Amino acid sequence: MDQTTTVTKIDPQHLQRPSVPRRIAEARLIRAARAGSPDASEEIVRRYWTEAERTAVLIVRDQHAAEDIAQEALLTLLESLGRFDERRRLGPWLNRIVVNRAIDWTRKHTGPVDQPSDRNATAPAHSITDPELLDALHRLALPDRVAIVMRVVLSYRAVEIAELLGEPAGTTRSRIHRALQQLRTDLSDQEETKHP
Amino acid sequence: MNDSPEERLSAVDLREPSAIARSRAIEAVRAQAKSGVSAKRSTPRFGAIALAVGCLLALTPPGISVARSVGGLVGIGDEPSDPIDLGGGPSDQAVIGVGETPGGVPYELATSDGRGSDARQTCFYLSLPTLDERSRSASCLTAEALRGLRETSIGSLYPERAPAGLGPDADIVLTGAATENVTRVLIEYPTADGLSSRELDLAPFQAESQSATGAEGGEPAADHLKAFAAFLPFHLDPAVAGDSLAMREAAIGYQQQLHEISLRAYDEDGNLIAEISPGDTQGGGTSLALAVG
Repeated sequence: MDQTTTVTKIDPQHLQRPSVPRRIAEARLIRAARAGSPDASEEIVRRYWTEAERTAVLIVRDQHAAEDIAQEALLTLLESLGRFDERRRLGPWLNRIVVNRAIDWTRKHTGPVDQPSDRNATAPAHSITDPELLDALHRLALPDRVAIVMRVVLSYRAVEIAELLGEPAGTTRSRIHRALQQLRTDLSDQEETKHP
Repeated sequence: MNDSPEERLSAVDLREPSAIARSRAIEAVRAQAKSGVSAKRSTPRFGAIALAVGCLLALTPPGISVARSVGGLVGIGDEPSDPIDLGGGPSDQAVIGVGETPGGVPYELATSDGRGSDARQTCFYLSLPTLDERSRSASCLTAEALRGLRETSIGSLYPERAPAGLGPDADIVLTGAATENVTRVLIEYPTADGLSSRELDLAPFQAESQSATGAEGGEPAADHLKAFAAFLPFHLDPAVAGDSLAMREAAIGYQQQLHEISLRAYDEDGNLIAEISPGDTQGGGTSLALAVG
């Protein structure tokens, strides 16, 4: 199969965009937070905390680091609201901040980014529903893991992921294709070990 | 479990979000909102514009001289006033941007072929022609550094003590590079009056590298990048010089300040694509020797 036409199967429900009323509500929320409303800032944290923490956990695997990254990302987002175009959605912007911080954290704590993570270097997250998947993700090199999480979990387009990774979109598509294959093999091997 | 990885990834979630961490975050953002930090941090953009007027880093393509705007400076594309000798034979130096420090001292950003090692690389550095000075080190973009930069969009940050004579608010000079998709870089840094921020001017250049070890497949790589320089204040009591304990404390203060500096890179759509602190990078390990001279 041509790598550039690789189709990533995504839960259709996951692709659902917020309804128009919710977008309007979000714009009001942004304006209120920008005006300094603590209630609006709190609502933004409540609304986006889970997604930020999950994204961070999937990339860094370390529970405490993920919580710190989620908090820092939300604080950064709220500090930067003055520059945010309220016609856009907060979620993707926040996730980019989370991903960038998670990349920084991983580079700082687990060695070269093009090598699979040192599993012993971090305290594994306890909050994720599929720990085997998390382990398998962390046997991928960081750019592969980031690409997979952004594409499959967060539904970013390959071109957006490529921009963040600083590489051509074709390279990112190949990366996603290759990493999914590796993940498939790894998970399958685990299944066979468990149920020979 | 026989679901595909895609299905498992789509379904993966938190059993339960960390309630304690979320509460802590809520407390933090409420405190931030009450202190008006977000409003305060967005206003320095106007200050950044004013500073940018004094900071004339030209975006003119190589070969076109903008020297007349800064008096005796050489033009973009010309040889810098005080080229760094990187060893290993002849190398080409060229000015990619010119500007002025906050105190009005002209500077040049220049690139140079680094042929001193067994690998080909492009280096960039700061030259101060009127002071007959240049930065103590050049940032050399090896194949490995370029790979890292592609990952982070902004990097190769080298903070060091600025040469004497640059005037107020130019105690530290920080040079760095960003990838081509970065169109704006905002720097936030501590001052005696709290955090301040400004937009940095970006000087485009092309970095070429070829790893002799084959790490890049032995093929030459060319990246279109942008270099920048920032001059920042750092207040150090001259009395600490010679007092080892005070110097150690000053070193800690210097490292802390590096951690408080952050650079944010935005793409042309205004999306934040990278955020980095010189305190978090290896370049942040600049020693006190650079801080106190």
